[in-house]
Amino acid sequence: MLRLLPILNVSRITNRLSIAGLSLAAAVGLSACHRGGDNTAGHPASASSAQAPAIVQPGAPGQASTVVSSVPAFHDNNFIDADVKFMQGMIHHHNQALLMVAMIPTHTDTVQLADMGRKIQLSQSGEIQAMKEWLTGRKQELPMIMPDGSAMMHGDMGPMPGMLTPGQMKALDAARGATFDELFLTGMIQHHKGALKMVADLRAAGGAKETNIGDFTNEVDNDQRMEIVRMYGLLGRPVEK
Amino acid sequence: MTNPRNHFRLFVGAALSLAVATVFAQNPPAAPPAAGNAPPPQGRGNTPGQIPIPQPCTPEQIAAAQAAANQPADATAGRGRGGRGGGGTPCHMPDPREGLKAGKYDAGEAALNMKLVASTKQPEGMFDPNPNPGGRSLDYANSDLAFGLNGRLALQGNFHGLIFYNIEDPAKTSLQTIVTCPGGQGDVSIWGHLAFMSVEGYGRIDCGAQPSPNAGGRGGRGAAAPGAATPPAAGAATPPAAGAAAQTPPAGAGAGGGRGTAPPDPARMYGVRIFDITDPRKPRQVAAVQTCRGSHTHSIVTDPNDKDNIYIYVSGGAGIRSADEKAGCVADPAAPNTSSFGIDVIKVPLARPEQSAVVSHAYIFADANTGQIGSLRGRRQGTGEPSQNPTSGCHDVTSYPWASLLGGACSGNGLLLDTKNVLQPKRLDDVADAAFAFWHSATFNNDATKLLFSDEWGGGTAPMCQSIHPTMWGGNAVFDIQGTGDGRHLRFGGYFKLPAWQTASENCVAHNGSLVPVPGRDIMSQAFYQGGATVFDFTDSANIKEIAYFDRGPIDAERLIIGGYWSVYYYNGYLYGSEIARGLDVFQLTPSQYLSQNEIDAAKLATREGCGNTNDLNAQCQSHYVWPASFVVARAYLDQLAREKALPQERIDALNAAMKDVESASASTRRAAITRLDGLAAELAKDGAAAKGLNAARMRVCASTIQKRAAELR
Repeated sequence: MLRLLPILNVSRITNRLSIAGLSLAAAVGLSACHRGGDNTAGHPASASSAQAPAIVQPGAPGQASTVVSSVPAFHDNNFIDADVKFMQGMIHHHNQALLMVAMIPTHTDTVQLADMGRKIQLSQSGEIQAMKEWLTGRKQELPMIMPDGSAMMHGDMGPMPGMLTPGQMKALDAARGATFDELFLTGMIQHHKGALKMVADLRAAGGAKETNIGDFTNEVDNDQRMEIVRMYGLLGRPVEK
Repeated sequence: MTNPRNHFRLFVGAALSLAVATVFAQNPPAAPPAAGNAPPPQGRGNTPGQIPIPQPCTPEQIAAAQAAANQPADATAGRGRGGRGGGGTPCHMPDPREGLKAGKYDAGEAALNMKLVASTKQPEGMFDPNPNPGGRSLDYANSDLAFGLNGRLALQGNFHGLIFYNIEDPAKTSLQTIVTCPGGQGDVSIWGHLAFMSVEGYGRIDCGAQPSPNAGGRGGRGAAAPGAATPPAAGAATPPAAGAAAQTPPAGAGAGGGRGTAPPDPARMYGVRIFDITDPRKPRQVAAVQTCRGSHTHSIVTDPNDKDNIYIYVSGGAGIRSADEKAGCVADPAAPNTSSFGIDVIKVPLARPEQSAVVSHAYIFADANTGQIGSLRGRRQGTGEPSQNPTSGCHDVTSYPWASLLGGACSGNGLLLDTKNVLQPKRLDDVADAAFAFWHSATFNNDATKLLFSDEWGGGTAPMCQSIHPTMWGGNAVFDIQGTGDGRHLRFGGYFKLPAWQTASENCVAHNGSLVPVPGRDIMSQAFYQGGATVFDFTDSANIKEIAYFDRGPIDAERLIIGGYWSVYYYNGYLYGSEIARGLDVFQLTPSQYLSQNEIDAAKLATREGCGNTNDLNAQCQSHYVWPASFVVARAYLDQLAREKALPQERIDALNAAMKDVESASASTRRAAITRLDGLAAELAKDGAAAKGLNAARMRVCASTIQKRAAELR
């Protein structure tokens, strides 16, 4: 790339007939010559380093490689239906966590809960974005999320594992202070455990093999496990499976 | 409304309860004791304690820490962040790495004691062409590095292929060749004119970029299928004979194989490719060795009695393909010949690499007494309780042929193995740790007396270095190797994690690193993804200190775009950082109170033996460093003795002056100067022999280095 840049600069600058550009071109040429002359014989790499990079398409083992003009694009297609359903469902699932976190500023003064909420808000909104990109990049349908947290996909989507019932959500919204903290933490632990179950179910169904979804599910799994441990800590209770 | 103060009390109590529940210890209670002389129980565990999440230092604490750091000879001056003897302050010190401007190629930078000497941008074509690229896509991510072709080549793996850089003049590092060969994750190694590459995602035998029509997914609509690829020359793996007892299948380990319900795909590559790189401008694939579990990583291993072949240990935890796709694969974890619970061993005949084949599947987690294949369990991060599932695969292993040892970073556990029998390495010890989520990589120190393990908590794509994160999660744990022979075992020393807080849009956790060969010290360079590059000293495993770093701001201020250093390795005087999204960076260390110019120069003089052809470097097949008899090396030792005040300064000055006298002496005065230097060195050797410990050893090696050099000059 360092070799390419001067060449590009030279052509661009020469077109503009810039005096400074011409002297830069001359300097590049000179330094290249100087370098070649400086090196002792038997170092072919010094000569090749001045060449444009080669793009090589290998063949099957034992077959010749060919030089190509550009890098062919690749799309990982190694996903199955269960992967798509998982991503659609997890967007729905994560969205509820955001609704819960949004209550914190008005429902409690507890600093530690606000910190925890910010962490959950950051990771879950980032993951929702990643899931949407995964689905759109593969031309798959995005779930439509309603303001009340329900989701549509050619009709109502059922609740995902661990999601709070409408009754639980109402109780949470009605609570304040210590009661809210308790309901939030127990509710979010229940919610996160559901996400872990979704990951485990997907893996058991033979999904999560495609590079990006595999990576994504590992991240969800690790992150939510850690958050569960921390939330039990905030509750002052030992971690339950 | 509740009184916030009452709340505060509630949460302090909560934190304390958590502390009581959190026991940081290594081996699960059910684990069998280490063979031979097991250390006393109190030695195995870190003391129970709270998960520390330090708060920012107060101005008073900052002043106190700065005063301590300004003590010139104070060995504790380095910065660290760890749970036990981390060398840092109990609070969080402000750090120049915090608050850097975001940007892909115009991000803010912070550096300490290392400087960027060359930087290449990600080459054209090696970006995701998707107009709506997922920030977390790895399809075109750069991965690991290997070095070879007699110092001229830095080979960078990529999920989309291989990138060759000409590093003949490291400060003018230039792109040489792009090999397009998707598959991921493209872990690389070099041996002479052969390069090895791991394939674990969906790859084709012929390196084609178009999806196969047989691939089960739905992205292959309308894609033209290239001609059917020739099956690889590599032979099928023979299922190893295994006399294993029955075991519980781990939860979630479906028997479907690597691609779920997808039909067998004859064009699919899942294993290790071998390229001939004799002409680095036109590499050629010579073999594609198929395995049952693909290859997340691989490591070269050698047999000292076998010069004709090298061996490749294949690691990974991906799905096991069906026997329909590759004969002999056994996805059932409960089967006595399961393809899980071990590492595949590939034999590479150096004269006929096209005949490379899987020759063994080593069940390295097996219980030596009962034969149970999956006998090891990790610990759950935080609580320390034994994991529900047995450890079934390694993420990566690092061989050290000089010592016939292997460090296994095996998801739930860290392993120490003996590789004298290359086909069936023998487990010497295993550890687990409640601070570790995922045992990711292993690095020996040069003397093979320490083994450092890294924890890839969050998988590398998550931001695990924020202020809210525990300081010993997602870092390193260093273990001392104690005992002899088959009784060798691991004893916990200390933790080290990048001390600077990173943002929520920077993926950050400990990742790949290598030794920096400064004689007399154990120094390592390491990648922390978007946390940047760090260089730290782990000579004292209980007191690990950072001595240099380089960091950029996040790629994007708002969104987490996967990037940062995959690996940072030392090679022939330079540090090379493989940047996942931004390209390749080349650094040099600069002198400081933590590392002298003599130490930097002595590292450049080190030569390697034990793995690879001359001048190859593969961080996961460690070479043993040796230093020549040079006054530069002797001066490096003297600098260390001065830094730790282990020898009176006037004696250090006298030795340095005597070496200088020898160097500047004329033919007539040389003999006398050498005799005087020899006398001083003999005194140093005598003092070193009379004392014990690290500095006494430095004195002895310094003295013998001087004496050897003096003898050469005589």
